Amino acid sequence: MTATETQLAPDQTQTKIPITVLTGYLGAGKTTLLNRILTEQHGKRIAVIENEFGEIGIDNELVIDADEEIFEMNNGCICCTVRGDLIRILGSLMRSRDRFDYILIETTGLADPGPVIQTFFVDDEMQALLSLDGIVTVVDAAHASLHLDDSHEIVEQIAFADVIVLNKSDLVSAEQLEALQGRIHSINRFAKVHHATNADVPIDAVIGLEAFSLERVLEFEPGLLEEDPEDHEHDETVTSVGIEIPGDLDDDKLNAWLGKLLQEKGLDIFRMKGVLAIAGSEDRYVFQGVHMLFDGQPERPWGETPRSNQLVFIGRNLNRSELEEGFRACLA
Amino acid sequence: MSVLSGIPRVAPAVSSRIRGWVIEAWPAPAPQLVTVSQLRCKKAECPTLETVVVVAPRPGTAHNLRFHLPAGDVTERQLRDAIDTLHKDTP
Repeated sequence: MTATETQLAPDQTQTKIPITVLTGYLGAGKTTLLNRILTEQHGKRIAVIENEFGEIGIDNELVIDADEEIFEMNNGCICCTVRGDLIRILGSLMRSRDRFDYILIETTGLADPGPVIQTFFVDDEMQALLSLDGIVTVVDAAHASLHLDDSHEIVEQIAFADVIVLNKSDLVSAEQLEALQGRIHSINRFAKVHHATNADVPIDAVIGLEAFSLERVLEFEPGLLEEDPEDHEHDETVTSVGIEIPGDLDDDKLNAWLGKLLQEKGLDIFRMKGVLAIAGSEDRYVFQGVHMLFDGQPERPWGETPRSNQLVFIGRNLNRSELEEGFRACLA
Repeated sequence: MSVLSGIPRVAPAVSSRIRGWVIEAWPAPAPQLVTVSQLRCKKAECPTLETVVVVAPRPGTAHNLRFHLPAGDVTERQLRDAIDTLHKDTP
């Protein structure tokens, strides 16, 4: 197949097809969850792209096998890695788009979710036709603690997640489950965690999340941005930081700070999002980003709501006080 | 230009045009994948908007062609020159 044959044709579409990315370490139960989603009565016709054939078969006529192919895109300053296999496969798939209305991508147990997400951020044609719905990470409650110390893959899969399915919860005690959940929380305190046995989570807990919708960024839950003292009990290099500062931000200062931050620390920042009050603008500015890629736009007006700034980072070696100090210096 | 204006999107027609030029100019066999993106850098010495064309002739190999211009201003000549240079440098 050639590029002309396989790539997406933006004029062929009316509505965007949502995509859920299913990640999880080896043996966590990704395929069990996938089969559960496929067999549930939800009325959706789901196409599946999988990177490896597991021991458990998938009962679906639209299963496409992919070989993980990562390549770098950079201009010398900004660098990102994208998944060439996905761009190609999704291009082919979209030519039979009348056969499905949802796409699930099951990654390998050792996959880094970063390039998958960056592919949807950076490729304009993917953006035009497809909408990334969310990252769902399946975690094996019985074995995850063993891998969290020595596998960066499992840590990154948790860090990138919008939803975490804590599977095989029946195999551990309540205390063990609580301890594991504490570690997960210290890595990513913004993901929703669902306990499961045989990946038995409600379907609407894992698909139809619209987690990458900028409007959804506005829905920060109260208290989520407050620092959790329990997080200090865990010595994780990958952590999450939430900052809330009332007032207006100076556009120029913010640009300079954010630009520098992304350039210097972008590789360590897995995900970020926020709602900002920019001096001189009546609208909330909402944004989200992955590594060095940043996307945002003005959303609804502040109206009578007190103007305030909320910022969330999930990443490696994040320095809370440095981030907070830098952000605070952007106030108008 | 502001970081806050987000990812600078390439118009589909521009992206298709550039992709067509790459496929025409690329020595056979045709590349398996061509993507066109714009990147914005905040460094003072960098151009406001750059275009990066990634060409993957086959799985596992990718070349970045960079232009210090918005995608809409990239010409066929510039693209052909970049492809020629690339093939001279990497025979």
